[in-house]
Amino acid sequence: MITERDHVDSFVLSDVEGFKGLPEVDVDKCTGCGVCSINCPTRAIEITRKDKEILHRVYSGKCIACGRCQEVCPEEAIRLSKKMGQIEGKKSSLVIEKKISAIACEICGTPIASKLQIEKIKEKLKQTSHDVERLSSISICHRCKSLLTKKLFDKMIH
Amino acid sequence: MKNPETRKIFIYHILGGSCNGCDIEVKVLSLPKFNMAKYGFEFTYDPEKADILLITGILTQKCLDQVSDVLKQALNKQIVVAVGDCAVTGGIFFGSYTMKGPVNKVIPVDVYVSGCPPNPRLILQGLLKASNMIKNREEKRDS
Amino acid sequence: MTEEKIVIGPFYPALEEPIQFHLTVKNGKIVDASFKIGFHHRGIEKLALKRNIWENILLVERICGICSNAHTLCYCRAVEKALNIEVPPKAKHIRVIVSELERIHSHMLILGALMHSLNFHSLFNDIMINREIVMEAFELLCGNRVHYGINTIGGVRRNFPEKLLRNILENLRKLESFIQTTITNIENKKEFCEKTENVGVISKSLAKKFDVVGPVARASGISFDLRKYHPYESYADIDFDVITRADGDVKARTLIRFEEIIQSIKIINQATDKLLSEKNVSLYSEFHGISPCEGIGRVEAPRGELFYYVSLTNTSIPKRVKMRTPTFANIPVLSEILLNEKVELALGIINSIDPCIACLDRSLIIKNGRKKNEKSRN
Repeated sequence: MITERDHVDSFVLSDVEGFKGLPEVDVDKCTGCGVCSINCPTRAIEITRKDKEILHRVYSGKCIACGRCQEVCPEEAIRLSKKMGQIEGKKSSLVIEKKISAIACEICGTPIASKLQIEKIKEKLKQTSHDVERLSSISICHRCKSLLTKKLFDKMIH
Repeated sequence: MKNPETRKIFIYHILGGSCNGCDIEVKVLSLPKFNMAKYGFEFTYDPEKADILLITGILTQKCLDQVSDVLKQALNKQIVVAVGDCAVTGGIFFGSYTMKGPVNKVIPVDVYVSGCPPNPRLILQGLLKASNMIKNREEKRDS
Repeated sequence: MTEEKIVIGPFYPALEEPIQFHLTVKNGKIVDASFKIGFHHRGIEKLALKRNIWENILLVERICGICSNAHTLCYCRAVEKALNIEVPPKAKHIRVIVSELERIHSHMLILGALMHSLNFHSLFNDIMINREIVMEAFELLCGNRVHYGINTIGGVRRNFPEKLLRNILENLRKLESFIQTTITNIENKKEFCEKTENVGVISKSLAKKFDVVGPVARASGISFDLRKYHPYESYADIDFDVITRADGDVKARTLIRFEEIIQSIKIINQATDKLLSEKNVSLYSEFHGISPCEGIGRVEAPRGELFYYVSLTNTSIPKRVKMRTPTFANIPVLSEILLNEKVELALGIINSIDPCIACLDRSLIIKNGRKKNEKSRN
């Protein structure tokens, strides 16, 4: 629908079922693995880290709406939406950005991986391991992990 | 009846070396289904008369030689609209040895329309944004 | 009388794409014609060596915006031939439906441009309005009006539901009656015949000497169509006629394209019946392992025969991808048939060859017997 002359929307939506538009990510399913970014032919998807969050960026100026990201995602988290394209006055605004919440190290606070990734690892390990202390070492960064292992080893010897 | 206050806005289309998908979607805008004449848009073949410069393609060297004098005069006079992924970032042809673009490397751009190729309704929306800029500029000049 | 030099292009209203013609005119008639190409050269054969075989499908699709499905089909056939992959029957029927729909929209586009250059503006409008029937069909079936992306190595990516196909066939019936009415209207119209009969004549011997392909050859009496004589996908089981005319002028080339649209609708009807009654439901075949091998693909694109050669290595990055497009074979004959024609009819003759310049700019320029360096090709 064409809007009034004084204000122009950035996105125009199609009303066709199965239209191939710009991709959108479901933040509850995405683990930040990066397979969509590697398989994108124009390198339009970028996964970066900022503060305590993992950012999933789609540059609409590069996306050709081919659908390969939807085919290769192992979690079925990314889908082609009905947004036909983006209209902006500045090149740096041609981006769709979503935040995937990340787990930070329990001891020092540096971000490690996305929340969903850690939960999936914990689920798998609960079936095999019974030692609660060892289980908690997952939400710890590699530096703090080596310090914790050294502490456990010292406790064992002395 | 057409509103007598709708003035005509002239568009000059520059072909910069692409697959011609965007160019055909631009040509289709004059059909009654999309009806760009309702907003006052019209194509012209005279660059002096134009208010909007519409550029598609990756801008190869040969195409650039043909239009370089038109682009030199465009600064501060016309609104530049870059349509399609090739004009915005180079698209899938990024890294080609004949590419002198994308467009913002050659001339500053006012409106970007992304898509490969963008739907005619999206292009019309981008042209409306450009016509808003013309209206604002004229109001500023008159006041 | 004095000679005058005229330059047409590269940016001209009735010319769809940039190509430059240098004409020498004496007494209102053309005595010499030559042309310059290279405005759309993007270096695609070089870019194809930096991407893997799946990303190349998307690169090859964007060589031309009008015949994009023909390019992906030919490339996928070349890779499938090299790796010995068999495509399931449902995918073959879907490929035939999309190829024929593309033929219809491509012919309507060039017919509209031809009518525009011959100053029949109301007919140009009617043709473009009816062409939207096909564009809407593409948007509903494949998700996009241009660059449909339906082909992949080993088959297709989407299934077509029955209800949608039946709706589209109903709309194509309306298109067929519009085309029949147009043929009857212009075939004997005085203004049309004055500008097109015996204009730009390509005789059978000239067509054989220059090796033209596609509807241009069929309008000069050479009855050759890859879909009939070297059938691919499921064309062998479909009944249709190869339209041929003997006059070789602009009128024959125009009427042949109208009649080919009718044949395409006939093919789509048969392919839809075969698709909906197919028992095997798989859409593509899997394959494992890439080894050094080579393959070729030949397809009847809307403008003629399209040819691809692919050479693979052990990795997924190919060694060489070569393409020969039909317009490349048809353009040289223009320097012969433009001679001794009135200069007002030049654009009509150029548009009747159906030049697709985005497909054409694939070549290196050889000047004075020496290969010009790619960097200094300006």
